[in-house]
Order: sequence, then structure tokens, then C-alpha cells
Amino acid sequence: MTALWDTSVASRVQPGSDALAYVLARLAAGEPVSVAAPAIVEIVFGLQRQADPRLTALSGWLAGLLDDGTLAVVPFGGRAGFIAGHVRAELPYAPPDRRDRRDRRSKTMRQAAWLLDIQIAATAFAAGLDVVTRNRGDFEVIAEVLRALYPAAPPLAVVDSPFAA
Amino acid sequence: MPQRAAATATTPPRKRAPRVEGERTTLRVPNTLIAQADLLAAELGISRNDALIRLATRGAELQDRQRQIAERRDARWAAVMQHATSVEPGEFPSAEEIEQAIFGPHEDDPE
Repeated sequence: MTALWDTSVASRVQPGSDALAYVLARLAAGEPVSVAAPAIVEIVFGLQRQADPRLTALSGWLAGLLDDGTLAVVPFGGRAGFIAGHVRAELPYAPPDRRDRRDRRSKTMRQAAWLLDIQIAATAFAAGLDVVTRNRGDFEVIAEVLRALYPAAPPLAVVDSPFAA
Repeated sequence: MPQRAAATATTPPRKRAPRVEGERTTLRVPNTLIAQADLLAAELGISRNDALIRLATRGAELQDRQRQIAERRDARWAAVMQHATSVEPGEFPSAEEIEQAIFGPHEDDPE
């Protein structure tokens, strides 16, 4: 375990998916995949806010993976909170030129997601991990701010998803 | 011994591990680990001894990775503390100023 999965990668863990096969292989090898606690917030929020029993069922299935330790959740602790506060002071709003044009969420929702991205990056940084994402742009911006804030620190590496789908 | 000859003919030869340099040692292995080693040995067609070495090597790799992560975690936090304590404490703001800073509007906030 050297890297922490963000929302864009962890949300691919679905029944029958390549992501689930990867997660189970890592578990069998004794190195369960780590997911940032704020990513769980974002995933469950997305599944629960729709009045769709299939999404609710998926949320329950995900709870099982958390309950039996198939996914190892790294908590958002005090150190991560301190670091996230520093980063947010430097980058209060999502970089406009980095926003995905397919992202049809409201400005308020994008802002909430941006705050969670900062929390995910801070969780990885505080835990000594890298971050795995399908959203390199935003996390590279955060990594650059971390590098500027704490030049003596080993940098946060932004890593691509280990599976294609 | 025709039965034994037949069994020998159908059983694939056990793979021999490459010779490795190292110290010879004797140790007491817990039964649970022996069971795991025997399972791995059967799966891979190797000896119990080789299976134990593989398990120990894998464990050492995981341990080394955990150590690297812990070192990076500590180095990062040391850098955060260095930054956070770089300003000498002088006069602190009033309680009202602190509340305004945390909960009040900021000039950069959008309307």
C-alpha cells in the first residue's frame, strides 16, 4: 500500500468490475487497497441522494466492503485537517481552467467536491502515501501547492488508475 | 512395486529452489504458519522450506514498504511543522478578530 484511491477511482469498485477484481487480488496478496475517508463521503452521498433503490443497494454492498476490510479506509485526521486548511487557504476555489466540461454539477456542488479533493490529497500527504486518481489535473494543482507550502517535504505523487475501465 | 512406479510416473517432479547464499538456522515455526506454508507448497509444487522462505520474503517486502511509508509520513509532517512554526509568536489577535477571520466574509469571496 503506497497510494490512496480518490473518489474517481474508488467509485469504479462495483460488482463484477475490473476494479473489484483488482481490489480482491490486492486483498489476497495481503495489501488491501486504501481509500481516503473523504472519498467515501463523496461516493455514498452520490448514491444516496437519488431515490433509486438500485443505488441504495449498491451503497449497502459498499458498506459490506468497508465492514469486512476489503477496502482499507484511511481516516481524515488532525494532521490531514491542518494540511487541508493550509491548502484551502491557497486554493479556496477549484481552478476554473481545470474544470471538466462534462461536469454538469452546480457551482456549489463543484465547490463541495473541490473541498473533498483537498481533503483527499491532505489525507494521502499526512499518511505518507501518494494519490491515485482519474482526475490528474486538479490533484496536480494541489500537489504543486503542497510542494510550495512545504518545500522540504517528500512530494505528493499523482498516480494513474491501475485498471483501464 | 508397480503402484509406486505408476505414482512416480504421474507426479510432476517437485521444483527445486535455486541455491541461495545465507546462514543456515533452526527455528520453531508456529503450526498456523506451517499450515500456510504447506498450502503454498502444494499450490506451487515446492518444498515446505521453500514455501517458508517465500512467505518470509513477502513479509519482509511488506515490512520494508511500511517502513518507507512511515518515514515519508514523518518527513512530511516535520516539513509541515517547520512551516507552521516559522513565524515567531508575538501578539495574538483578539477573540473577536479570530471569530471574524474564521466565520466572517472574505474580500476574495464571490458575491
